[in-house]
Amino acid sequence: MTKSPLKSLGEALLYLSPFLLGVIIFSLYPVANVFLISFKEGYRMATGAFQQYGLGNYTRVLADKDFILALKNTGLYVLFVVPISTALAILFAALLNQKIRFTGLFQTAYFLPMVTSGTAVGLAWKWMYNYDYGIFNYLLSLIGVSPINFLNDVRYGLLSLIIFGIWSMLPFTIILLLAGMQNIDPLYYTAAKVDGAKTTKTFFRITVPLLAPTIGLVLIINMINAFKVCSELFPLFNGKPGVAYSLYTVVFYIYDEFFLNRQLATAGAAAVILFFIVFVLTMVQLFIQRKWKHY
Amino acid sequence: MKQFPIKKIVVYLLLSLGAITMVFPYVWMILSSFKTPAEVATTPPTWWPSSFAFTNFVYAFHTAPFGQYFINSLIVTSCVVLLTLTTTILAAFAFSRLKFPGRDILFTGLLALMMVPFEMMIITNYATISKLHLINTIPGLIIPFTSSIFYTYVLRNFFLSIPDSLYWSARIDGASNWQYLWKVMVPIAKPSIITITLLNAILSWNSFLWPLLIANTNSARTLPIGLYAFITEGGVRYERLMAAATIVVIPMIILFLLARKHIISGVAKGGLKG
Amino acid sequence: MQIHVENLTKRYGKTIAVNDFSATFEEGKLIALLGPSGCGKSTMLYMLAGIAPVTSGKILFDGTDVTYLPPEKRNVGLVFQNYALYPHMSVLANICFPLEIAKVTKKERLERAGELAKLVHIEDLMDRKPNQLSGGQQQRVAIARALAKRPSFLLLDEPLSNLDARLRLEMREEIRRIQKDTGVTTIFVTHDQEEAMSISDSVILMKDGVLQQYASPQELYDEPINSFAADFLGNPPINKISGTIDKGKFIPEGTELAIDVLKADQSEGTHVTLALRAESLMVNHKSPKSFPALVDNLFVMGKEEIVALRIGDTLLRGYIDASHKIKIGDEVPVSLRSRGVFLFDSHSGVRLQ
Repeated sequence: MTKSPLKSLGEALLYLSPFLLGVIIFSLYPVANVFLISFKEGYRMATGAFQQYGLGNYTRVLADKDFILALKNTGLYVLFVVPISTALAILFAALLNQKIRFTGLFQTAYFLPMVTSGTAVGLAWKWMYNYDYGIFNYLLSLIGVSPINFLNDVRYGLLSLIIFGIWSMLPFTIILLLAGMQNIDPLYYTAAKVDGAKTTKTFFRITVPLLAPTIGLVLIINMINAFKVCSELFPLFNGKPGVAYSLYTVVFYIYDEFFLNRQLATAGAAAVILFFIVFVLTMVQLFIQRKWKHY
Repeated sequence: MKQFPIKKIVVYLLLSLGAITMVFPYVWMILSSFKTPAEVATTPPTWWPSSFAFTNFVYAFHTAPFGQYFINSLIVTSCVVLLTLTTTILAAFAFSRLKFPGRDILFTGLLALMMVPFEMMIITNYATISKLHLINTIPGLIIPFTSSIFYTYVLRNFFLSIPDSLYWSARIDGASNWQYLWKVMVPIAKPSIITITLLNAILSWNSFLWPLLIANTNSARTLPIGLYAFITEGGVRYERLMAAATIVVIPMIILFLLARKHIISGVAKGGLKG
Repeated sequence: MQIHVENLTKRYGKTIAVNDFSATFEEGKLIALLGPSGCGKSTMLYMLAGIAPVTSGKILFDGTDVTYLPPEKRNVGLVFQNYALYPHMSVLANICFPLEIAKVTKKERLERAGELAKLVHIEDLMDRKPNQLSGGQQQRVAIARALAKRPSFLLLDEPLSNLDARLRLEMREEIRRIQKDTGVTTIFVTHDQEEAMSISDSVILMKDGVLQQYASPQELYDEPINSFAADFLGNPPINKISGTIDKGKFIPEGTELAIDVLKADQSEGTHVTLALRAESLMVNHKSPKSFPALVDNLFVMGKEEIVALRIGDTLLRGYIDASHKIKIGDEVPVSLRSRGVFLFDSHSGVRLQ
């Protein structure tokens, strides 16, 4: 019965090796490598040669006005998309949590964007944002607003991206919040009903406080995801970071530095900075999750 | 229980408003895909196409090999899902059932690695794939995604919930670890495995940034990348673009309609994670 | 098969679950491993099955050392407390599973499953899934599965504790019947003395990982080896009075009484505990050896009447004949039978007579 530790390790490795092979080559090594490269000053992609280790790439990235712009855009994107989509999601989750008919129909409508390609849907949004024949400008004209150049005007690019972002984030957020609401003991609601509380009062006095940990968690997860905004730009702006390069985001900056400018080291430094932002947010998420368990 | 109907009306009104907002892009996409160029370029917009002709779809299929893209997507997604599932099941078993030195340290390390955004790994992975001469190939789209720490974590947790007594019963019944895994654990974990499969398939099918780097030829492009290439190749003719977008979106809509409950409960339990 | 264990010890870190356990389990017997929870009896069972690695000592099956043999090579049958049926398989598939693993042909498998179903009376349930069965039915299926590959012996871990009171009685008899029918050496673990006493051929009493007494149920009841054994068996629980021995007589603490107890003279002056089975107390029996006690309470339990008697600060329970007309508050003469009366050393718990 008692296996020697070596034998048990051997058996475990048989089970683990396919998994570990993938993890080591495509997760562990890349992370270590990017960290390393980000400290190599004067790195040349073709030869792998570099001058010395230092913080040069970081100072270069942080001094790059495109990166500063990327940080600003990403920050603004997170600042608007996350709270607004979460607030809307709370509303719709609460509505979906009512005793309603046509649940299947509503679920399909609300959760469909979760499964469809962002590229295809982004293209549909591009069409809706169209200056001349887009449906948005038509709807605006009905209330007397003159047409807006959603995508090709520097002033509106970020707004257009944010609206699309909110729409994209809603389904996932609604599902998590709905699951949180369904975990609330119905006894609380019965008690509130006995006490004669009104619907809105019940919502703000019972649902929202009991949902607070879920909301906290959802906010963090959404923040992490929103920080990685990038793919959305491709269908909307033909693969450019907005009109006149005004819509750099952090990930787009990394992609651009690496893929177009072939600046591996600065791309790496930017990636490490992104990692630290995500890392801090993840720590907050784990903290909330731990607290949630004691709830 | 009598309720003032106004409340119900407000609930349904708001819900319908939200539902329309959520599905409108799809409706508009599909409607536009049937329109003639003239119908697309009008103010006010034509809501309903004059006839449901497949002209734009035919054009899309003629100009760009969407059939090929579809098959590529199918191959990539099936391979990624099957390979990930295999590595995940084996690893989850080792982490939940086998005792070996260093297990907990290794697992903690993996969880830490899980926090690193994939975007950070792209740079080196591109170099690796390039060294393996797999740029513009289907395997180049598959092999970086055969191991998922997240799904291994999810499945390990499920495996841990299966009582020890079942394992020992099987051992006493004569089963080896391998037999126990495939004859007992995997069948019991079927719901969990289906969820993992669905979520992974959705992610893989819609994947964009990685194939954008790797697949620059028609022979390797997946649907989203093919569509993206079509934007430049097909010109800004929205009726055609919308037809192409519809082609990309339809398979996932069908999957969602078929497996809605599984997908929703899966997302609710584990969340989507790349 | 005869099982022999020698100096078997199991440690979990610093705690010792089973300590220097030696015993022989005779072929064809139904043996109970009895003890309070945490006494190491389940660990003992798991070591026999090969599930829990042995820290030191030996396990011999018919003289062959199997101490380090993995469970699949020991040819044992084990039924867990929660039955551990495979939830995704039908009853039939569950019973056939060990045979399927052993690569027995399908025809033979079905034949064997049919035999077993008949043995444990589950012929009508073969297509059900475990979650469609009652606890008792699951138990039967689990026993059938454990017997499928004709194990050398059968181990049952708390087989009755998950059942309600009525089923428990029924399954108890069933286990006895199945064991007799198959003749398979069976060891079962229980914390319920009544279960152990009612069906087993012999009982192993354990405490803190140490074997206390290994005897037939009757012997265990009549001749407990120490105060723990006397305490653990019997319902109502055995009465205990602490006191000292003075001039060959037992003096209960805080009283002036002197009770005649056989062979008490050997322990002159020591602190002792007198243990009395309820049926050993006789009320209203005027004899020279009787002593007075106060009637504290009276209970009627079905056809029996139980009296609670006070001697000093100690309450004793005894059976009385309903024809005796006694009331609460009466002082009655009490005497002792010779059976069911024991003296133990108060400190070590060792039997003195």
